[in-house]
Amino acid sequence: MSGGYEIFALMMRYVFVALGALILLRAFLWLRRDAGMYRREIRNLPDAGLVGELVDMHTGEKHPLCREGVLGASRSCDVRIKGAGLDRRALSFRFTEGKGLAVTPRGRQNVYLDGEHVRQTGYALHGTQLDVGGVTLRVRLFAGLQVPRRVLYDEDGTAITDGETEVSPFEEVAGMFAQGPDTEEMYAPDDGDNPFREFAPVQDMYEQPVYQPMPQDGYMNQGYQSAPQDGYVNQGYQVAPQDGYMNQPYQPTPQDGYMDQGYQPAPQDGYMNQGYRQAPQPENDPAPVRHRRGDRYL
Amino acid sequence: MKALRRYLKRVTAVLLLLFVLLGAYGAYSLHTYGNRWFASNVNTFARQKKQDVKAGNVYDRQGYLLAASTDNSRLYAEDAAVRRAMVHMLGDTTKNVSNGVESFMSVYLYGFRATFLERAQSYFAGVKRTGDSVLLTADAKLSAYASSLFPSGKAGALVVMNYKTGEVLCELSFPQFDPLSVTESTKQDPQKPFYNRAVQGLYAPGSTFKIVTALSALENLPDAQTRAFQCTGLLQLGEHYITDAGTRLEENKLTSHGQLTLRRAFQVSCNNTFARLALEIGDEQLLETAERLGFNDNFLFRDLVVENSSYPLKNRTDKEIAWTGAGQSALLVTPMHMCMITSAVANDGVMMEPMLLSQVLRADGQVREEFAPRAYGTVMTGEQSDVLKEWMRAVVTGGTGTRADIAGVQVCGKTGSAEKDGQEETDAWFVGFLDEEEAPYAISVVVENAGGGGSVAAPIAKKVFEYLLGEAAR
Amino acid sequence: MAKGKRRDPARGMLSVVMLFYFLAFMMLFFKDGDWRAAGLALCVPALIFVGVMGIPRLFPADKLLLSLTNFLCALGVLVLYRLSPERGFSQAGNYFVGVICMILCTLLVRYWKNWKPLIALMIPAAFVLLVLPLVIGTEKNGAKNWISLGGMSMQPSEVVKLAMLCVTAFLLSRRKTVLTILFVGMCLLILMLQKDLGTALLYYFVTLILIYVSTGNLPLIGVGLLGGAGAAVLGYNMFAHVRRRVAIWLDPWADVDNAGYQIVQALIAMVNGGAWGVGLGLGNASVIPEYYNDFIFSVILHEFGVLFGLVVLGVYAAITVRGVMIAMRSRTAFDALLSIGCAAMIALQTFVIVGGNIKLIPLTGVTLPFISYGGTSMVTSLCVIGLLQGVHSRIQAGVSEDKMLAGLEGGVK
Repeated sequence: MSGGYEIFALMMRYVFVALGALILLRAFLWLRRDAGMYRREIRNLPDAGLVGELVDMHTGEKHPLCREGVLGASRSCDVRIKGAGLDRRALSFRFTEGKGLAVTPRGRQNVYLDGEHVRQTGYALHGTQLDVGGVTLRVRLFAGLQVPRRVLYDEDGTAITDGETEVSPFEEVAGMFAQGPDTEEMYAPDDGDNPFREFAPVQDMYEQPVYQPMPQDGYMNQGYQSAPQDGYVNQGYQVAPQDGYMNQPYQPTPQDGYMDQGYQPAPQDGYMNQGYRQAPQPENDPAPVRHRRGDRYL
Repeated sequence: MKALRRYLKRVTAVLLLLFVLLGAYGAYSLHTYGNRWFASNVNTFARQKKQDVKAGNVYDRQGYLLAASTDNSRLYAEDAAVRRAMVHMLGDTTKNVSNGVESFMSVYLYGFRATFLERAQSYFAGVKRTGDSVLLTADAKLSAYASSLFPSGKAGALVVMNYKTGEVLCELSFPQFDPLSVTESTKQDPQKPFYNRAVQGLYAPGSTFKIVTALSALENLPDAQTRAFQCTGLLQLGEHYITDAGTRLEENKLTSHGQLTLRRAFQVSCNNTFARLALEIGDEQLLETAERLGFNDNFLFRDLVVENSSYPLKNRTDKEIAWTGAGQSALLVTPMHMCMITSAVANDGVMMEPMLLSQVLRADGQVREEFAPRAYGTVMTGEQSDVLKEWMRAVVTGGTGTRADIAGVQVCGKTGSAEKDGQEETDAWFVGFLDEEEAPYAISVVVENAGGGGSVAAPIAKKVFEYLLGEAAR
Repeated sequence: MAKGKRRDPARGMLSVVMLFYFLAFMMLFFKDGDWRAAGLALCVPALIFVGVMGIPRLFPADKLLLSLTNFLCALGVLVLYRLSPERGFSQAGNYFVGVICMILCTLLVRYWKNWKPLIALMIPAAFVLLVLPLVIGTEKNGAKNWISLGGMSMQPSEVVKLAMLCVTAFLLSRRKTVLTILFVGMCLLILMLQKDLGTALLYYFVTLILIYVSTGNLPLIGVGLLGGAGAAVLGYNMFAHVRRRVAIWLDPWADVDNAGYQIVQALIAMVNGGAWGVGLGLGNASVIPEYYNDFIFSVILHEFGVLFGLVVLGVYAAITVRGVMIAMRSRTAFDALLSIGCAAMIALQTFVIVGGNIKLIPLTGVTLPFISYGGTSMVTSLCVIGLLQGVHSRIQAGVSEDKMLAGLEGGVK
């Protein structure tokens, strides 16, 4: 081994350690920068990671609903409902593509979906009423999610369906390779003729005032959807370009008292001419919503 | 998901802790064991690299050249007496003696600490690199003199250190040999001359261990100094008898000291009293004291590899505990460790780490590294050390160690005569120190198979002390 | 935003990494005048560039993970090439296979929707693969965990690691803790029979971590740890080679020339390296048996020094942190558990083998991910990264979906 190489290699040791330290430093800065960027991105996306909300029918309180989680009174729960006598962990839920929100009881309290007792796992859909431990919640899922329509039954027991009700097994398999929401099955909005009947009303004075049914209004079932004729119908949350909302999608318009006051019926005349309006919903089929409160961990 | 994320954070902390642990342990082990591993015989890398370097010199504290290199060989001190006296401390290039300066300090001697610039310089100058020189704390003249005092033909060890700094002046092992004429007969000598008894030899401490027992008594028994003990010359424990020196059961000869204080018992080295004392103190307390003084510790001194002393831990019967109090029964110490314990008494309870290396000099004579003394720990209080000092002084003035006494000088000490199975005579021990401000030296002498410590070892110590006092006066 | 328009951090990182390998291989070229080294000095940086900048264009991938793993893989190639060029080239081949497998894993996690049947398939497959070495396996370093098929030899317990990660994450995300324990317990039992204790240790701790993350059940973890300690004591008493390993660990110097030789040489190599190393190409690390496999970290410490060793550990820590970040951002429990499982697997594997190298823990025969020589190890480690990448791309897809729905940015990708 030549001595010259030795001296060279001895010198290069320092270079290598310096380069290594630089790599480490860059990795650290990159990690920090990435974390910061992601945080900013999520701050601009209040709904990131959420699939909908749960509305407390007694108080009108809205709980953001993440994709998977636990509902209960404990601090560690994703949906925490205090002071209602709920178990610390009452149930766990997981949003399942094509099936809806899988609800599994975890406490001793009985769980009912639309009045039906859930023993193992039940699937909640948009509009489903969830009863657990004296708390009544309305499940509201965002439009654009791949879920079947809710099916209700007639008084004589026959199912009332609305077009494609469930995703067929074939579609489910195809869905495995679906990329992004473009190819995902959106569920078609109703065009005014609401097929749902009124759900068996719960005799609770708080329940009815929360959602005033406004059957005469064609918009009603499509919360954020703009009118069907503008071609946006199939894309859940897209707002028509002309309504000026594009630039501030989640900002509640100041004149719109709706966002903050939980579905108070708007004056009948007012909301038609305002672009982005929250239409009041019939009690048993609330419109898909998007939340302002994001999952702060994301 | 919320709970999951919370647990996830905790797990992350644990995972990252693992990396920290790896780094910390790596740094720790490099720091504590690095030199030991480097100096190991199996370090083939270092052995290869040594070919390219001319090893540095070794000097004693007076600048006496102990070892030097020519281009292709290693030279040792000219004076044969010095050469023989220093052989164990220095070791030699053939590594017959393990962990001598020549191998343990090879990281300096063979220039492994040279910076990149120095290496580049010697490369461009086209000269063979020269390693660093080391300055030892040892005193070659004293070593040669002390070696001459040692009874010829006997095996043993002698350690002298400065108890205030821990500097080792002498680290002698006997029998000695000449590194320049290692013959086959040296290798086959039954006394194993290659063995460095000062730091590797594990001996029963005999009565010198009574310093430890006495210290434990001072700590654990409030009336230890005032109480009157009764020595009957014989302590029966079941079928076994604890005997005093001079008692011969088979001859029905009984030496008893009668009623005495602990000070007196220490002075005359009464086995009976110390055996009772050990039983009263209890094994746990005695062990605690002994461990504080370094027993069962893994010694990792910077400059020296010292074998670990042991205090037995398991299956202790009363007989064993009693004998431990008197310094027998599976206790093992090195002369170096015994010297450290003595030093702690002398140094007001602060035990210093033995130190051998004072400076490392670069080939151009500049100081590369300088070493400061390190304390091993404070092992007893000042009051306790004062009491023990006074007792050890009493041993020399009117006890078993009178032969070490020097008129007008505060010589303190403790003798020991350790029995060893299969050996006719006892191992003669003497540990002691000069309680003098200008000559702060402690000594530990052990002569194997030689007789009583007071008669064999103490005179050697006396002469070494006289020499040291003479040097200090100059 | 201005910040969003900043330069791609991958470029800064890559320039350093590429410079590093260019210099390193050029040095080896100067040393021996071997033209293959000069070729590698150009090829390796080029491949790293293509790997980090190219793959994310074609497949969903995280550039940070890619550049860090590429750095480590290339370090393995460099060290192996320096000690034995054949192994270096063979390792480069392993790397290619690994990258393909990584992309497959990424795609699987990204697009596979229905995991249930896949998991149902994985469980028996895992068992079969694990049992196989017991039937037709060959013994290597005391553990019977290798099988040879038509000239190719592989270590099934490495491959099963992937299945184990997926299965455990899936079962735990479905709250099937008991089933998980049963599954992993069976795996551990078979691994114990193979005497492949290092891998068993990894499975065990990764499972404990996953169970803790999914349930937060500390008493259960305590019981698990006690059980593990019991199994360790049992293994210690049952297997002579475990006793031997522990004895070597406690005092490798007792038998420097035989049993303790490996670890002693590794420690001495580390000490010889010191803080800055002995210099690339100047060491003699090949005196360590298994320098290319179990002790490759010691080789790095020897030639590049302890400081560089800390850098390498830091890179592993960065990969772990990235894995944890991905887990934190995951939207489903399965994603989160899968990614933390992957991160923990890499972190623990590094800990176990590096700890063994520096005598912190007894040496077990696991490999250093990405760096150790060996096809199975390389492929598996990259697949683990592939799983992480898959989860990451799922998160990215979720975010861009959110963006699209919020009308902030135009659609996916």
